[in-house]
Amino acid sequence: MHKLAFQQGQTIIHSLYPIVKFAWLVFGSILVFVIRNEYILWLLTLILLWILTSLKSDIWHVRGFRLTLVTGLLLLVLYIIFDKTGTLLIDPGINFLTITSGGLGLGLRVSGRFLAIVFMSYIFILTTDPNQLAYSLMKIGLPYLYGFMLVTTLRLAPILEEEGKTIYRAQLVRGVRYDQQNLKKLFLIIQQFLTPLLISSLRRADKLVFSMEGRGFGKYPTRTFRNQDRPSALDWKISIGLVIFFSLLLLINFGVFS
Amino acid sequence: MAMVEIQQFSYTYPGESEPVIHDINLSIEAGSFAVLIGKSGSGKSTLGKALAGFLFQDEKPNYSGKISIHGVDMTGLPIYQASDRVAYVQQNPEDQFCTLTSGDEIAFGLENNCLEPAEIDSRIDEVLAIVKGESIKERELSTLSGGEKQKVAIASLLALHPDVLILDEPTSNLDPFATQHIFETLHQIREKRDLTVIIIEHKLSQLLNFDPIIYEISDGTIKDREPEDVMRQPNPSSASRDNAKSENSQENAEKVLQLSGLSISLNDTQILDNISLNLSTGEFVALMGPNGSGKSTLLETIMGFHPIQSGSCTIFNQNRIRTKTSSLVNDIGYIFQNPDHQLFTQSVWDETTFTSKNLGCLTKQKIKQARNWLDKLGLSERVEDHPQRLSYGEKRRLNLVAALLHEPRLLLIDELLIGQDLENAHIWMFLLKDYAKRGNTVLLVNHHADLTQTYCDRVIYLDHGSIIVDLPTIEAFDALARLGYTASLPTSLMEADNA
Repeated sequence: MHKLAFQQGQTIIHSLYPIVKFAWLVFGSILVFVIRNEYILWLLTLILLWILTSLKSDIWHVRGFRLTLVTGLLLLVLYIIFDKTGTLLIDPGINFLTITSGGLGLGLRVSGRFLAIVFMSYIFILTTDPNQLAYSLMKIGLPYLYGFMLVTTLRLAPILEEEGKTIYRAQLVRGVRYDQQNLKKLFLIIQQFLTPLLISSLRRADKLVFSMEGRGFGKYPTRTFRNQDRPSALDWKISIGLVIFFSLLLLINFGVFS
Repeated sequence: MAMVEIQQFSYTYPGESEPVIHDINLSIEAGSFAVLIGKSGSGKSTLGKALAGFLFQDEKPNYSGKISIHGVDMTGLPIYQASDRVAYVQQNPEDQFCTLTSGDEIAFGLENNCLEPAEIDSRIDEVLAIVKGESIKERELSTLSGGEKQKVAIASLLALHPDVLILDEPTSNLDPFATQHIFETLHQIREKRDLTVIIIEHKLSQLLNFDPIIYEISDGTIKDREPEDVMRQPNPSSASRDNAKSENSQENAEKVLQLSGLSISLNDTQILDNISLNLSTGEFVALMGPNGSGKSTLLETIMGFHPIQSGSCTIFNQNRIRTKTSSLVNDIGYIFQNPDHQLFTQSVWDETTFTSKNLGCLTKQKIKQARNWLDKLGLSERVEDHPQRLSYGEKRRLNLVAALLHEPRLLLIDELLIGQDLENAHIWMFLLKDYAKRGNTVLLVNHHADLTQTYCDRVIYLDHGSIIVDLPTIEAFDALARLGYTASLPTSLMEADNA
C-alpha cells in the first residue's frame, strides 16, 4: 500500500496549467450535483475511473482507494435497502431485499456523485505538482504569505512524518512498549512521543523563519516569480472540449434530446 | 574600514543569567577567510547569529556592545534588512530549505527582493556555476545528496550578493569527500567575489590550505590563533597503531552478529548489496563511507527496522527475521543521529534511567553507575534540568549515557561525533573503547579518520551499498589509500601520501 501523491508524467492532464485543472475540479464537483440522471452520472464516473486507472495502473494499491470503492457501493446498498419508494423492480419475497426504482435511482445518484468527486480529486492530485499549484495561486492573487504556508507545509510534512517514525523507533529501542494494557502508561508514552516531535517541529520552524527572513521574505508587500508559466493553447483547447462534453451531458440530463 | 567590526559585545540568552559570550572585540577585513573555532557550546554559533542579526529580533534582547557590517549597525535591523549585507548558512541545509526544487530555492530570496525573472535566472546560473552545481538546477531537493544540498544552500544565499557569508559548521553532516569539495568551493567563491567568508568549523586541518585567519572562542571570549599553534595539539594518531593492534587480538571472542549476503532495497532502490560481515565480543568497529553509502540503513536493518529481502542476519544466535525488535532491546543499544529525537522525559536523571526502568533492570548498582557516567561526561550538575535545556553536545552525551546504562552487549551508534570538538570526541571514543574492552561490541558510524585510527579495532568501509574494505584499522587505511579513498584517510597517512 502506498500513499496518494503527485507523480511525474507526460500526459495531457499533467501538462495542463494547475489553475485550469483546479477550476475544472471545482466545476466538475458542482456539475455532478446538477446532473440528476443516474445513468449519465455513472457514465461520467466510469470514464473518470478509466482515466484514473490509465494514469496509475496500481491505483488499487493506493491507501484508501479500496475503502472509497466499498463506501460508494455501501451507499448504493443502503439506499436500496432503506428507500422503498417508486415502482417495484425486484421482489425476492423478503421485504428487506426488495428493490424499488426510487431506492435504486437515489442510490445510484448518491454513490455515483461520491465516486465521481473522489475520482476527480484523485486525478487532480496525481497530475498536479502541489508546488506549482501553490505558485500559480500566488500569481493569480493569493497573498504570498499564505501561499508559502502551503509550500512550506508541503516541504515539512514528509520530514515530520519521517521524524515521527524515528522517534517511535527511538522509543522502541529504549524499551517502550505500545502494547500496554495500562491506559495511564499508554498516555505517558504518547506524551513522550509527542514531546520530542513538537520540540523538533518548533525548532525547525524557528530555523525556517530565520532562513526565510534571512533571504528577504516579508520585505515587500509583493514579490516576483521566476516561473512565468501561463495557461497555454492546450489549456484552452481542452477547456473548450470539456465545455462541449459537459454541455452535452447536461442537455441529455435535462431531456433535450428525448 | 573593516568589513566586520565588533566592539565589547556580550550576549545573554533569554532565561539565562550568564552571558554566553562577553566583551568580544573583533575586526575582520573585507575579503578575509576567517575561521571560528572553539569547544562545543563555547558560543561560536551565537556570535555567527549575532553577526547575521538573528539575535536581535526578540522584544528585549539581552546584549551590550556593538556589531557593524560595512559600517552599518546590525543590532537594530530587521532580519530582512540585515540580509542585504550578511548571509547565514545553517548547519543543516534541510533546516534552511523552504521550497521543493533547487531552482526555486535559489530564486526564493531574489523573488522576495522583487528582481525581474530574467535577472533571477541569470543569477541562478551564475551562482550554480560558482558552486559547480549546474546539473542540479531543476532537481527536487529531496533527491540531492548531502553535499549537493549544502551547495544549494550556499548558492541560495550567494545569489543575494551579500558582503559577508557566514557558515555554521556547513560540513558537519558531510563525508570527507563532500567536505573537501565544499571547502574548495568556498575558497573559489572568496577568490572570485572578494567576499568576506566567516566559517564556524571543527575540521581545521582541511581548511589550512586556504590561508585562513583563525579565531578561537573560549570561555565566552575570543582570541587570535596562529594555524601552527592550533595544529600543534597532540596528535594521538601516531601513538595509536600499537594500541589498536594490541587491543585487537582477543581470544575467546564470541560471535555477536553475522550477516551473510544481506541485500536491502527501499522504495525500489537498492541500498545494501550482498553485505557479509561478523562482529565479535570486545570489538570496537568503525563503519565508514561516503554519504548515502548505506551506513545508517545497515544499522537500521540490524535493529530490525527494514525487512530483509535476501541474505541472512543472525544476532546473538537468533535469526533476525524471526526476532522482534522489542525482544532485542535488552541486548542492543542504539543511538540515533539527532539527539532531539531520543529525549523523552522531563529531567536529565529520568532520561538517564529511562531505558533501565522500562526494562526493569534499574538496580542500586546501575544508579551508582549512572552517577559515575554523568560525572565523567560533565552532566552531574544538570541532573534536575530538562534535557531540552542542554546544549547540543550535552544532549549527545546524555544520549550516550542513556544508551549505555542497561549495558547492552551490542551498541549501534549513528554519527555520535557530529558537531563535537576534538577534546570531547576523544573522551567519548575512549569511553566507547573502554566499553568494548569489557566484553561488549560497539559499531560506530564515523567520518573522523584520525579518531578511528586511534581507538577502533577494525574498519568496515561501505561505498554504494557494498563493503569495500573490512580489515583491522591499520590494514584498512592502507587498503583505502591503495584504492584511492584518500579523503577518508587519517592525517598521518594523508601527509605521507602527499609527501
